[in-house]
Amino acid sequence: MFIFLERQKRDLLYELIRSSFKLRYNDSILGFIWVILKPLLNFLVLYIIFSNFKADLGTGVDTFQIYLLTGIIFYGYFSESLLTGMNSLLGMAHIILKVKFPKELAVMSSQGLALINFLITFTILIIVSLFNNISPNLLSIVYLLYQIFLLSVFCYSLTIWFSVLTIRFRDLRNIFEILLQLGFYLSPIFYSVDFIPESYRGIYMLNPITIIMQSARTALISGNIINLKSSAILLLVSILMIVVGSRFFKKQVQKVTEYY
Amino acid sequence: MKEDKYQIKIENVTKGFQINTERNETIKQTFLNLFKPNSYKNFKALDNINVKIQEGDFIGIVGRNGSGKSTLLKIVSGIYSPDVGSIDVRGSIVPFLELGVGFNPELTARENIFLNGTILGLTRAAIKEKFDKIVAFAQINDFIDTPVKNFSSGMYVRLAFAIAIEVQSDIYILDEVLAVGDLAFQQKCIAALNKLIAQKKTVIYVSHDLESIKEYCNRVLYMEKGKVIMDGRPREVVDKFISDMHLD
Repeated sequence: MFIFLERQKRDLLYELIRSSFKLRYNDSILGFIWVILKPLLNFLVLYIIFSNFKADLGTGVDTFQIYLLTGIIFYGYFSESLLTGMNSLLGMAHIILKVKFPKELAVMSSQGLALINFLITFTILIIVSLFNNISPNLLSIVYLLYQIFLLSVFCYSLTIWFSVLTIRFRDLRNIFEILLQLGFYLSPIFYSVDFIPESYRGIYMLNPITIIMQSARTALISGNIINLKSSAILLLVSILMIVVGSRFFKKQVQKVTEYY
Repeated sequence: MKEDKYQIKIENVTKGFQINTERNETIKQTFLNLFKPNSYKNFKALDNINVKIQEGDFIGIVGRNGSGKSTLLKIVSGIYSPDVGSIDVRGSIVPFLELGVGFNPELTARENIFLNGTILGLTRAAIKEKFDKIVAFAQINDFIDTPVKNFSSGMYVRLAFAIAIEVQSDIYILDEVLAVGDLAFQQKCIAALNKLIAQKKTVIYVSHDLESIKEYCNRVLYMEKGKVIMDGRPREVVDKFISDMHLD
């Protein structure tokens, strides 16, 4: 999306992301270390609980820590991207109601910030990975990056809809908070897909997050490329949702101005 | 047919707001109220407005609070879209509806200049080029890297005005901008206004300072209850407005 923007809008997007990044951790002592600390603490809790059962979860015993950490930061990215994305238009009401403002940039800047936070935690994952016995190869790393790209596109395809709908229906925020909590257990974060009974697996694999998480993790840990077809379908569906969503956004975003 | 010459054309514009109502802000309410008759009242903020503004016009708008002035400006700026009617603007607009849009008190003056400047449509390169000029106009040399929450309100407004005035545009919308700042700053603003007039820019100016309206405008609209009830020369319109106010 970003590369299609004209110069001025790119500059504006840059400033929006920069200032919100600075503001988020402005007055806290640990500053942006919180970006890393939050998923790490989350990791620690789950690791302590589940490392006792790791043989039963189908996650691989030796690489359980990598398995778990990848799941947490991928899910963290998804959930932050979605929640900040749906609040993005509301959060910029003070600008939107005062000047003519390219409103899609509000959504994009929230996504950009979520991506930056993700990339910070992702480098931690890479560093941790170096000390573990995993075997990615060049091709699988490319595939891992492709999965990150896919997740970003998927997030954007949802937020472009829900950013507008949230202005009209404020409940959506609370609904999504609960759904995202549920989704944490419905996604293979601390257990493996094999853990799910065979009869439910068809439905289980419809969860896009499952597809992305499983593909990214397998690429990182064992260097295998899986879910090629379902990833491609997911990408196409997401792009379609962005195309239709952009039209919906353009049409509706002006009409909801008075609902701020 | 001769081409219609104008810079802004407002045609049959009507804009309503729903007020004093239980708005369906939650899904539950929407479902509960699905079969209820609509209980809200539609308040017409603008009622069939027709105005054509020519290039180089310095238009004043007077009217009581709530007469629709700000709604009209927001429609011209493209913040609201009209319910009925159309609006055609030829050229770019800088709305000074509020100075310092997007200013964040926690950010430094430097950061706010870049943030606010890009919001108003400048590129980062253009801001870098104008940076020294903005700082000089705002007289904040020593405080460039101070968070603006520590600024006096005067400094804050000076900074905001200094950025906005650097944005080149065809049309300027000024809403009560002169009401702030000390005398020295007001004189700077007046100089800036005169420059706009000299450059034959189109300006829409809303103010309760009727003297300044009489001084700068070449045409004044008088709004009442969402309608333009008078449109003419500054002196006549302002005098009518003053006498109406005294009648109350």
